[in-house]
Amino acid sequence: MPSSPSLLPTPRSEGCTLAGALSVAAAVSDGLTVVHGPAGCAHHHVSLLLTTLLDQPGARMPTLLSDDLCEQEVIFGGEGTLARALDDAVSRSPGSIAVLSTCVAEAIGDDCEAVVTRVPDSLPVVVIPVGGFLGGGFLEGERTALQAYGRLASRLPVSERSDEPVIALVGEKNLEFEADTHADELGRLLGLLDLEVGLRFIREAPTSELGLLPGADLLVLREPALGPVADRLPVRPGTPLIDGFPVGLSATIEFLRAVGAAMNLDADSACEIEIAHQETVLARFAGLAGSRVRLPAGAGWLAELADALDLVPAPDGVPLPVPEPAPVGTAGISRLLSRWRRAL
Amino acid sequence: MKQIALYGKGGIGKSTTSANLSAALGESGRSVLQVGCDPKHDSTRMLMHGEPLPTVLELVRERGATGVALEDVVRTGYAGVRCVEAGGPEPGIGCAGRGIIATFQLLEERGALEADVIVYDVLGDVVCGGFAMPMREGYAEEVYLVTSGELMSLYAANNIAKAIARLAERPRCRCRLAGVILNAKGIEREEELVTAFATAIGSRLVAAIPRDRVVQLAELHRQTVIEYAPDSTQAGVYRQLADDLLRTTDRAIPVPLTQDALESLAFAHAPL
Ligand SMILES: Nc1ncnc2c1ncn2[C@@H]1O[C@H](COP(=O)(O)OP(=O)(O)OP(=O)(O)O)[C@@H](O)[C@H]1O
Ligand code: SF4
Ligand SMILES: [Mg+2]
Repeated sequence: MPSSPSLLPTPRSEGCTLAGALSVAAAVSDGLTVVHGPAGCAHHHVSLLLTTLLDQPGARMPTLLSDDLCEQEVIFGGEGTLARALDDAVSRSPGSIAVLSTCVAEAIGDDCEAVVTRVPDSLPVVVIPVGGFLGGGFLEGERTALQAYGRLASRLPVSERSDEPVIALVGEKNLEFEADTHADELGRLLGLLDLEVGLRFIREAPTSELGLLPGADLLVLREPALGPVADRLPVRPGTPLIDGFPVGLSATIEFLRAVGAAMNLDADSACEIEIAHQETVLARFAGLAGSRVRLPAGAGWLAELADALDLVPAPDGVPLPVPEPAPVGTAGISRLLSRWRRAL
Repeated sequence: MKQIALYGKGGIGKSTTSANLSAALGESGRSVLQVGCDPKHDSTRMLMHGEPLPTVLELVRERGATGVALEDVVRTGYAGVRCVEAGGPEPGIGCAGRGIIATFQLLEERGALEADVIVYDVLGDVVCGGFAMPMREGYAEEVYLVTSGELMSLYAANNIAKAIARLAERPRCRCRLAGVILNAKGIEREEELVTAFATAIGSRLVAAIPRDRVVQLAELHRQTVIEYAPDSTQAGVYRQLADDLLRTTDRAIPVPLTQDALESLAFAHAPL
């Protein structure tokens, strides 16, 4: 297990729609996921999920059931098999159940929505239709799942909430190695405004907590591409939204200002504190000044960072690694710079 | 052993033609097995004098594949023709094509796919790969396209020709087109058109079965024409087809037509 977070690219968004949906459903901490399809579909993605989770210290292993569709069900339909798997799932008393379909289930025309009506009303169920062959890939599956959980959230009893405003992180990439690091950084930044993350939609959230979504005061999307998902989440009209985690020095400050504006708070002193913090971080890397470097074109935040450090962009400079996904907040910049120092 | 399959558009007369063909072959002393590959399971009805057969899939569903004995699903009908119906899942659920292939495998495992001639009666306007399985898996070695002169029926026949052409590219696939059967609707210049179609796709017209009221009469008596009106001209036509089919060695890889070519062909042979 790596002892420090890797800044190498960690492409964790490959696989079919089922993989994407599973990455969301498996993150409901008291949830149980039923994969309605051949055992192979579940096996393949469970392996992916588990290897990823093994990288994350203290990770919880999700509860997954496959209803193991075989020849007989392909021919006659698999609704009976799903019904039996659901009864099994109910007997395990999870906080909620997610039913994920697969190519085979979609091709033979099983009606999952009809089958889940057998689950007692008191137990929340969500059906996520994700036949991989119907198009899309991992990201499509992730979005479909978020949307399905959005619909579920609107049906959940309104969660008891403190007087604190609810700030919801939407669409964290659960298979990203740095997912928690990113969320911690957002928590630190919100802390400068005396705020905190109220809901992670969805990462290690128990089902009951998902009921906080409709009353959320601010949505912070993991990335702008989640815009269409956010548009359909069951939040109050006019709920403010920030469409991505901040990447870069000035973007981090702008993030604080945006949160302040959304929450009707004065962000000036928070911004001053953070700017000072950024200066301290940059000062630790002052020794890099004057280095000739080569950076990928097009990313404004990289140019800004190079400028702040007095790096000299040059075609023959040392190529610097830039992780994908890009580092979040000032903490992300700090980790990136440690890596640059090793490279230079 | 000859394994022939009649493919064609729904309602075109596959089952009527198959049953009369099987009856004629049975009468001539051949051992014959007719397998209905249609969820409607009415392929062998006339051979069985209307007695409904339990379908293979019905029994597999109830008892599982291992619980199905041959005598449960194979019944002997007119002229000693052995009859089987594959059946299918409930409408709107499950995969009928996959069901058909499971039926074939079950029959094969039990040693039932043995006869001088096996006649498969298969739906041809279903687009999914399941219905091509009999061809792909080497059961249907000689395919006959049953068609009338109607465009929609030719269209389905042409699609099946496409499937055969594509499957024939596979090294081990033995499936070939053996001929085109016209089951006439009584349209003017129909035989001319279907003959031209057969030639155009690189095959030949093996029989022109006229439209005849005796078919319905026989049906009302739950019999094949061969049994109900053995001396009729219509019975003669079916016997002729049976003869031709036993003797033929024609096995072509068809050249399917483009939609345009098919339509032009139909236009050129349109009723005057
Ligand atoms: N040569 C013919 N003359 C008169 N009627 C015919 C002739 N061939 C078939 N028919 C009639 O057409 C109807 C449909 O025929 P049949 O059931 O054999 O078609 P099919 O292709 O097997 O249909 P399906 O695709 O539904 O199984 C039947 O009622 C049958 O009596
Ligand atoms: S069969 Fe479909 S759902 Fe299953 S793993 Fe493959 S692409 Fe995904
Ligand atoms: Mg029929």
